[in-house]
Amino acid sequence: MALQLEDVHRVGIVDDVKADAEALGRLFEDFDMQALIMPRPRPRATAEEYLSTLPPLDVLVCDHQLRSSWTVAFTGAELAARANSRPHKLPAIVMSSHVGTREASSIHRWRADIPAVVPKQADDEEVLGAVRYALEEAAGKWSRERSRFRTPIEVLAVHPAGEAPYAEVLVSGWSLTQVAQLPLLRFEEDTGIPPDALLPGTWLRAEVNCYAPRAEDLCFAHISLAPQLSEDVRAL
Amino acid sequence: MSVPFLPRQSAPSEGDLAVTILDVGHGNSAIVRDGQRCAVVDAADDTTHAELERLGCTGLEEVIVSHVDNDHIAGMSRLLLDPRWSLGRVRVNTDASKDTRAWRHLQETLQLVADDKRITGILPVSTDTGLPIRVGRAELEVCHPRSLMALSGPRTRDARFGTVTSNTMSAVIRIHLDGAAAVLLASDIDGVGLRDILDRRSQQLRADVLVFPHHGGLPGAMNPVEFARSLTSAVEPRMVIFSMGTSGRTANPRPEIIEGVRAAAPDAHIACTQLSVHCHEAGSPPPSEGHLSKAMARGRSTNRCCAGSIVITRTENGFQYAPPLFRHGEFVLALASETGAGSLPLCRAGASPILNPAAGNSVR
Repeated sequence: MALQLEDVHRVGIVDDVKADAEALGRLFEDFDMQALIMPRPRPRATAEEYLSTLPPLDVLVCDHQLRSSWTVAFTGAELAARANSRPHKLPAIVMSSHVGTREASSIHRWRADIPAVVPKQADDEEVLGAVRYALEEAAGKWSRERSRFRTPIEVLAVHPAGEAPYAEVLVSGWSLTQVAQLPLLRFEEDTGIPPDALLPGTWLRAEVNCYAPRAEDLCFAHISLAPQLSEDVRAL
Repeated sequence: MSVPFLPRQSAPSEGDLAVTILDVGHGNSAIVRDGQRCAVVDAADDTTHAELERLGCTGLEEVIVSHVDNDHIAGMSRLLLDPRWSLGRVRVNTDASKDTRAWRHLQETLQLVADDKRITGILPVSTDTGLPIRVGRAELEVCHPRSLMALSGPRTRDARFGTVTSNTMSAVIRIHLDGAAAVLLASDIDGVGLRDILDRRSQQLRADVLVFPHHGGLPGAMNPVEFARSLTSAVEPRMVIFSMGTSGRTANPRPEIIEGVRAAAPDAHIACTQLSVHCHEAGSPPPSEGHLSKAMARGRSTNRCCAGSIVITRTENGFQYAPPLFRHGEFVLALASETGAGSLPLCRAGASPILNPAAGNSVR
């Protein structure tokens, strides 16, 4: 049975810009949901610590960039990813002004655990659709576009510098004509290999949502180095 | 001379013994099934996945890669990697040049699914390996390449064969349904490859349906009329299918190819999966699609289907087609009159009248 938004009563909104939080709150209130603006985190609190302080909620909506007026060690993307991956999942989505920009790569690192990222300018339908996605994933119902499976990945170029280092890759199960970006912090977390040690021409494996419609919708999990091809396969 | 028709039968069900030639645009993919037992030959895009899902086929007993060109394998890695399908054997036509990106990605994919124990074996495709390939009551016979050519590999100039390209040694598969030769999948075979098959007089090619090689494009150095005439004569098809897409880059099928097909098989029904630019301009109003089979077809999204995906079903009285030949023929003739082209579409020029066995009449 499809999950209904009628099941959502309390929506938590995390945004360091109060006016933005209130505007988003009105959207949910228009649909008879109670919008609760979440408090400023304790300075240098981790995402896990902050989540543990929140009241009971049905859904969490996080602005990505929280450092305009707060002193926090996490982004909205990390907060949403950790909320979605807790043992007792709190369905969470990200809203951001940076969708489609270079800063989006800082979201990319956490994308595997974020059901939907929507622009702040999104209309009501898109926001509610994202919430529905989050509820369904929390219930174990993954859409085709988000379902991940293992695939080879070819590294074409590596950009190890900057806040969100990335590699340009071709994902065998997705497209051989469109280049995707693999977040190198995720690569480092999964493999223990520093980003600057990754070389073009390397083959990786990862769980990727290969039916994603766009490169920016791709997410990577359980990244590992691919073994050498066996004699049997090389001999083909 | 009239086209022989089968007696009227009830519409075949999805559980039947059948071959589906999918409309994948410019490319090839075929699904062979006996009920829920399935084999796939090539996967140019996700149309194959969508049709397998529609049919409820979850187990692919055999997956065959005719050769490693993008228009035959662009959807193959995803098909092999997607755990929704359980896999049996994968048969891959060798590509001795081993330097294309598509080939390397396919190798890595095969290694991954082998490491994950999702396949029962990886085998080469040639005339003398692992025969026969059986999926229920369907049998897939590899007619080409023979191992001698497969071992020489593409991009070689061999005294025995001439210049061998990836197309030359693309796998030609004849599909038998309950013992009857139903479809010849000719992949991208060229004149050198065809000559090698025909020189082996023991190799039979006859089939009810010929999926014409290389999407109706040029066959290498061989004269295209002669190529089409030789191949069609050897197959003696009732229907010739061109699996092609409407694009500015290619203008398939080539008129010389149609000329050769017509010379060898004046009564054969010719069907393109999508509208050829020779018959219908891309900017013209989209035609009605009421004649199409239920199978998924890439051209549906752009209103560019001609015959769309074509299903050949084995019945107790022979083969049955969806869309029915006369419905497709009527569609083509209506299309010509709607667009006011002034001349007949390629497939109808010089063709015999199309009989409608239900109405007992015919259209030209």
